[in-house]
Amino acid sequence: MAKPKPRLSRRGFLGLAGAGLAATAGLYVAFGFGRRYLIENFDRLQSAPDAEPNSWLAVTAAGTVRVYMPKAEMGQGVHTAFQQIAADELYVPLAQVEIVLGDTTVLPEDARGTNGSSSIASVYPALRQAAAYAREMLKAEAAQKLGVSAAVLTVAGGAIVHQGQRTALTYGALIGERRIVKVLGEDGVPPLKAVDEYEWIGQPAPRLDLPGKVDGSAQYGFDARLPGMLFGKVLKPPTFGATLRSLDEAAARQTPRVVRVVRDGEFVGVVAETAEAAAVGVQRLNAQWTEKARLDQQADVEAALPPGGPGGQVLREAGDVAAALRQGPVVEAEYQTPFAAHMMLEPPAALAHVRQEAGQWRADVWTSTQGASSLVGSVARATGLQAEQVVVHPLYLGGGFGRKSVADVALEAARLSQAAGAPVRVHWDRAEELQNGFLRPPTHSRLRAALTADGRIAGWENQQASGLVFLGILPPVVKTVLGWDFGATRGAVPAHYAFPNHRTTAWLRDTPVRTGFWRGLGLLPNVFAVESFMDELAHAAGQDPLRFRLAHLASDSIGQRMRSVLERVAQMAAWEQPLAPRTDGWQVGRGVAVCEDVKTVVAQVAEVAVNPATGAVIAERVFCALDCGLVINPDIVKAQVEGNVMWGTSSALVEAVTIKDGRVAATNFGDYPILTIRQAPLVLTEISVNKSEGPYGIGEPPIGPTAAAIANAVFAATGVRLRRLPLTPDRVLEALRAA
Amino acid sequence: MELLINGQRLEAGDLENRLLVYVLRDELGLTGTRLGCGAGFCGSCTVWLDGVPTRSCVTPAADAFGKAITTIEGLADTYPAAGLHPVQQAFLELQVPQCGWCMSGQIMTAAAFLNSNPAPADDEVLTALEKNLCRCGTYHRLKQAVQRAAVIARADAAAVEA
Ligand code: FES
Ligand code: FES
Repeated sequence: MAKPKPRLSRRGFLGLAGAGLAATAGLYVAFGFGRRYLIENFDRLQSAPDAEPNSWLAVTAAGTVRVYMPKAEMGQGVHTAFQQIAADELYVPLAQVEIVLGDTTVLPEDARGTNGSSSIASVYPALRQAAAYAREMLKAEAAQKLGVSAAVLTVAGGAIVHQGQRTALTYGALIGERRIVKVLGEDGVPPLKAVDEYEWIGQPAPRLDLPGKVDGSAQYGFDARLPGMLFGKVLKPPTFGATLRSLDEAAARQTPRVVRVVRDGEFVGVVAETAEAAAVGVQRLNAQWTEKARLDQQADVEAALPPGGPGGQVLREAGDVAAALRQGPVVEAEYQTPFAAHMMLEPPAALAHVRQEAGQWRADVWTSTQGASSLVGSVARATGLQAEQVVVHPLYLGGGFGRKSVADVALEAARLSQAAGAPVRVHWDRAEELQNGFLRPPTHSRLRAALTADGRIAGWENQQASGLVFLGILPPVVKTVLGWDFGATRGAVPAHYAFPNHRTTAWLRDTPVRTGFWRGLGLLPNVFAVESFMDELAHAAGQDPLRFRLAHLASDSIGQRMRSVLERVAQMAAWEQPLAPRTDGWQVGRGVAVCEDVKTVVAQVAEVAVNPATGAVIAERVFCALDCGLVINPDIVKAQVEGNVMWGTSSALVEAVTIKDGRVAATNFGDYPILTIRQAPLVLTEISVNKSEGPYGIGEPPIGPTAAAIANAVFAATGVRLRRLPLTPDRVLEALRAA
Repeated sequence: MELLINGQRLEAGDLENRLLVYVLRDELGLTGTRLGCGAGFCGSCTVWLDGVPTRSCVTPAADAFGKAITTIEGLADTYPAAGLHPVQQAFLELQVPQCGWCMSGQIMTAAAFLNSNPAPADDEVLTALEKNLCRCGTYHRLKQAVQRAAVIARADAAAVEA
């Protein structure tokens, strides 16, 4: 019997968008220039003063609500959250809200990009107001039509309702064929729906992007295709700082299916009919290089890393730390974290089509990017075009994690396309990505503290050194503007603790390999150091690590919120009941760690099992209690916690990049393992109900405590303290033997 | 040369020196098969050749000639009941994917596994999926979803017998 099936066809080629907003009927709410009070948090979203209005939201003649939000969907569920926010404020069913997946001619400019766990915190107030504004305008229209005061009207189901007259005017009917453009705020500030009345916000609405992700139809940057497209690959130096001496262009050109070799100084690329041929062509170039006289080695990086010397930046200074440390007794420890790679599963990839049409240059770029708006300018610079001639089409990201804030691959595709006169797709293979992308920088932290006779911290000193984060990627002016590379020190100053005397100082170190944004930036490395040390202090003071933390919490709101998640996680994990010992020789233990980041507070307890014969560590369960303020979608928050805990576990147990002979030693997942399903802990999450503030970010904060909680649990299980990530079997065994 | 993909014969061009993953994605537009590592480590590119899960990034396209190739786009058609394959249904029900790039491979691997083992133990699920990486860290849900898919498939089978 024939049965209905969702028919999935092969993907056709891309069509060019470009209808824009202009011609279509509907009610558009745009942000006018200078209406800054409405974009308080959405600080860097700019709208052009006299260009086409920068619409954030439209209600179409059919009554559909369209949201134009320049935030990338990379699996964090941000589009679904936007749908919920708009549906609530406009009183429509979720299905009536459409998230427009547009290009940079349609989406408002967003110089900030999608990063730093900032999307929901920044978009929520703005989108809510835009939606409320549209609703109030529709209400006013209806009042006029019905000849009543707007005060007697209510809103429900996408219509303005007059109970007495038993009439309901749908949004679509009110708008009709007109095209109305309103600048937000020009008729005053709209009243907002009360948080307690939310219908969609707070619900586990299903993710909009998932149907296409289970049937294969979702389109990512790497999936873009155009008729006649070619495939490119750009030659890269084999080691850091190597310069090109010679190459054999003719041999590459003669490779079957190679179309041309593009050369512009040190920029050399091969364009071919297939991706395979482009890669072969680059090998056939047989490039010869002059390498640095002394190739970079991991030992050099580690020798240069420890904190101290000139250039230190005091991040926090309270009381008199030196005096407190003189009182003693002093506990001191050093913690190290290695380089780490993003390893998002979709590699960097882009399709570019740079051409002249009727004498006019135009560049279109399809890619997975966390910063479509800023990519426009970069493509313009790389091709010599004007920004107005460049259109970026952001597609879904197969993982971003900070790496896709930098779209170097798109610039390669644009240059090759311009030279080849055809659409060209470029993707980086793993070895290319590991060597030429960028990494999480290594850190080395030295902590010292003095304890009072009753086991309280009298003085706390953290000397932290890290490779660059912001400064590895952004222009040097950033340091002048911000005052420091705060990416490197994220999480280094625990605002939730109150220490009477406290000094945290940071140093920055250059590394041979480029370093930059990685999920949470410095959060995981710094919280690993701070929270491992808190654990050491608790044990030095002879106190329970969880109660020791509670005793040091600040009395402000962050400290109070931290108290409640810590107490919650203690209950979830049955902290007071010892773990049952195992009969198979494995040793078990529990560790706790906390962090605060972008105002989200997180407490985690990890349960581990350690095999004393092999040094193997298994993270069995991780409990997580957190308070991120108002929750838009609890299931998405949970998914983000689960993902972050996996990242934290992976960093804790298996991940490290090392430098060898001028290269990143690893070339693929074979030598840069990431956590597997077999190594994955069970993750149990509870989210506090706190509607009085937020929403705060969730994409990174839960990554903070995991590695520390695991290392603390290993100590609880074995009595040995591991201060260097990852906790590999070799290191665990060595520590066990030394103990 | 023609390849037999999802029950259809498709002209795939000259297969010499070509890898199956690029032929599927770039020539034929079957982009649901994703490419993650290009070297057999991650499983994102998993398709079936005559029902056997195979990493298309390390498979010469010519090796697939004469075999029945099934990609994520054709998975639902291999299942007798209407609608999506139970693995796809379970992945939606439990909202498993995050970025989703690994998911076609996870789903193709899990579906083939359940075909051969309709009532697996938890540890067997781990063994079946431990070579399919997920960077977003959906593992917690992935484990549950495979078992949920097994339940859906067993219920469908029972309904057919009844
Ligand atoms: S892409 Fe084929 S196994 Fe990773
Ligand atoms: S969902 Fe992103 S890699 Fe698995």
